Amino acid sequence: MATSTLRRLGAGSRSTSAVGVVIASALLFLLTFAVFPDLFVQNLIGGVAYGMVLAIIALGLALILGLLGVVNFAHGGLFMLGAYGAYEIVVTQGLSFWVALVVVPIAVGVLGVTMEVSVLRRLYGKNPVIGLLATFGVFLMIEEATRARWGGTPLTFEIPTVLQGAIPLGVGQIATIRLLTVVVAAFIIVGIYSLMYRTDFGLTIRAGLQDREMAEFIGINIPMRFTIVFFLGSAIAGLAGVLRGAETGMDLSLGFEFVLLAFVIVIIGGVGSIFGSVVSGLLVGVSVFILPVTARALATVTGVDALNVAGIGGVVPYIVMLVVLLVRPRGLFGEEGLLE
Amino acid sequence: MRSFSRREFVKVAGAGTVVASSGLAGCTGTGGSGGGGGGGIGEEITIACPTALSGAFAPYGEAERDGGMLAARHLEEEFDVSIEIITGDSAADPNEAVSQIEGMVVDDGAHMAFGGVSSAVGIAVGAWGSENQVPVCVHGGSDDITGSQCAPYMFSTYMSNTMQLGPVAPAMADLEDDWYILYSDYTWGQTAFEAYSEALEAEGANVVGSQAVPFPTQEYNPYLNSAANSDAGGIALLVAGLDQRASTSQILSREMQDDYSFMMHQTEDVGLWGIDPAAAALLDVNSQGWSPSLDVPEDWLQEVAEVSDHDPFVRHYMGYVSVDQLVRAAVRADSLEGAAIRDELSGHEVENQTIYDLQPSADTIYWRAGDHQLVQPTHMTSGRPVEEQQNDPNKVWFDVADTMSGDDASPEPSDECER
Repeated sequence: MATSTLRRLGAGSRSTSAVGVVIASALLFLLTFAVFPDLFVQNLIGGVAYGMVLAIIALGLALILGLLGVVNFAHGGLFMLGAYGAYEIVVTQGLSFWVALVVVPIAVGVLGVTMEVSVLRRLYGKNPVIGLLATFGVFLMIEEATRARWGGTPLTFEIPTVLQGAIPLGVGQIATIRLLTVVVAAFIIVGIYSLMYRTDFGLTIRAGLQDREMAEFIGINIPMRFTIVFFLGSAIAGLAGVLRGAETGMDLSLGFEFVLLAFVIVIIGGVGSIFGSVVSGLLVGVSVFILPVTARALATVTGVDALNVAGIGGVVPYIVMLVVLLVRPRGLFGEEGLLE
Repeated sequence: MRSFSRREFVKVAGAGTVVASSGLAGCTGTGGSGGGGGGGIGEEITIACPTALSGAFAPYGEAERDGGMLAARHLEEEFDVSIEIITGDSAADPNEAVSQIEGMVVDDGAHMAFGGVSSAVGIAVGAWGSENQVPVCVHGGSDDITGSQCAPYMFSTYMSNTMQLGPVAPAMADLEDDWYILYSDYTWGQTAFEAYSEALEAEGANVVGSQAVPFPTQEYNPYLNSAANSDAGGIALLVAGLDQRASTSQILSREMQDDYSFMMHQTEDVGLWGIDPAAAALLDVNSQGWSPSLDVPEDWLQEVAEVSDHDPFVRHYMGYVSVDQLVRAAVRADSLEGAAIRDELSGHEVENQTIYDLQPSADTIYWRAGDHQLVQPTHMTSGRPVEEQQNDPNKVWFDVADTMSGDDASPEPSDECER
């Protein structure tokens, strides 16, 4: 049998699997809604909001990985620095949270550029393990510097009164600070997408990715553009850190905890796809909120308590990743041939 | 530019996870001078402290170490001994902790050990110590430490979950008839959940629902949604470490504090210092092994401030007591042999007045021979209103509302525990 025929059969099998997964998921969601209607709606809303939080954390990583091909483990460190930077601005300097929201991402972006110019620029095109180890080293340096400057005790800062408390949604409520995160994330996502796909600047970057030699031959300054992309990715990490720090406070585990989740989201969304990371963040967010309830609904309907798996919420992102990779190995929106 | 494949990326990301996990664990083992056991305690006692010095539990581990160092200072003044405390970063991982204690005992000649932070780590190092005749004082609240996982050289300085709930369960039943329980999904949380469920029902209250929460987690909203849909009047948070911070901060941000009564198990002050002080104020009932709001000598609090980056909280007390008791046992035995120290400690009634000053008790504090539990008072505390919280010279955010004597709080030694 010809190789192309085998590929077609494999692709057809995966398509069937994908349809099966979608139908099964829809049925399970319907069952959950039927058994726990209020809880389902509350968790759906909460999951979408959480998904946007995850999306903005993963977006900077996706940008740098997708466009520059760098497995940037330091992204978690930059995210953590965003939170601690906000603490510095609000508590130590006594300035407004709104100042931190503007200044800290820029500062973190500048730090990211410094890292790109001094470390990563030498590693482009080399084995990604080298980049991973280099950025992991930078991550450890950031973590220890943070410990030296702010100590190991968890910290927090006060947010403006207007961001405190919750907003009722009819069914349940959402914390105001989280709603701000959702709104900011939406603006950032639209902004980045527009920049990359609706401007000449984005066009030149994508051209440089497809054929760097040719792009430089016609006069495009590719290193400068890549540095700008790194600035954007780092600044978004810093912005996400400010918002997360405002919501939950900060400690030294903040960066490590979220960078792993961000990698999972990028893999699910498809390496190289900004849009994929957004959808993936939403998918993981909703799944984290809904699947434990689904397990309870199944246990209730069938009478089999074992189906209500204790603590299933912690493995949900990895279950989603497993399912997506099984039915679509390149991720939800990974382009055929990209990074292959 | 992008010369690697997607498969390579997935591989690299996976490798990164492994590298990160191992890289963050156990980087800070320190050297120390060895010392042989037997033939008297000589001039130098080496004590291993495998505890969390990186990651989310670092403040807890650092406080244990600092409390131990303060005890060492006092013991050196009292006895003609030199005490060296060597540390190894467990990163709150049981396997790493075992690797650390093994290195400190085999390579550095440690005679005894203390620490652990979590029950899982405590059980792991306690088991290793027991296999190698090294006395270990562990700092976890799981009933398994003095129950199904008990071991001959393992001593539990922290009160078990069952001890801690002694003064708390009646208060919970008085406060609300129906409770929803959220618990961390590992040995400590699971045993706490079982203990509280039984105790609440015995007190006439109902557990109308429960959920195991992955540990650690920063996102409590789905679990709080479940609790809010349960018709419970009270929500019990049997969650550990920095999850105490995540759960209470999200309760605050959802403005649930006025709609429910809240209880937290084994509340450790440091976890709440990182968030809005209102998080402590919302906790109506807490179990606490020790609190700076007890009538503690000011000079002890001052000395903690000198040796530690953290304000005094329960982990300082635990580290202090463990080192104090291990060294005094060695002095009494006039030996650094593990078996001799173990025999001195097992069943021993605490005599050091400082311990009684720190943990005021009308009854004797002692190491129970059956399961090596330190039988001492346990406390029920309530969060102070924000305007009444003390921050200087050290933080005091809770008030002790009730205390139960160790003997009243302690169940009989488990049948599973055969020393």
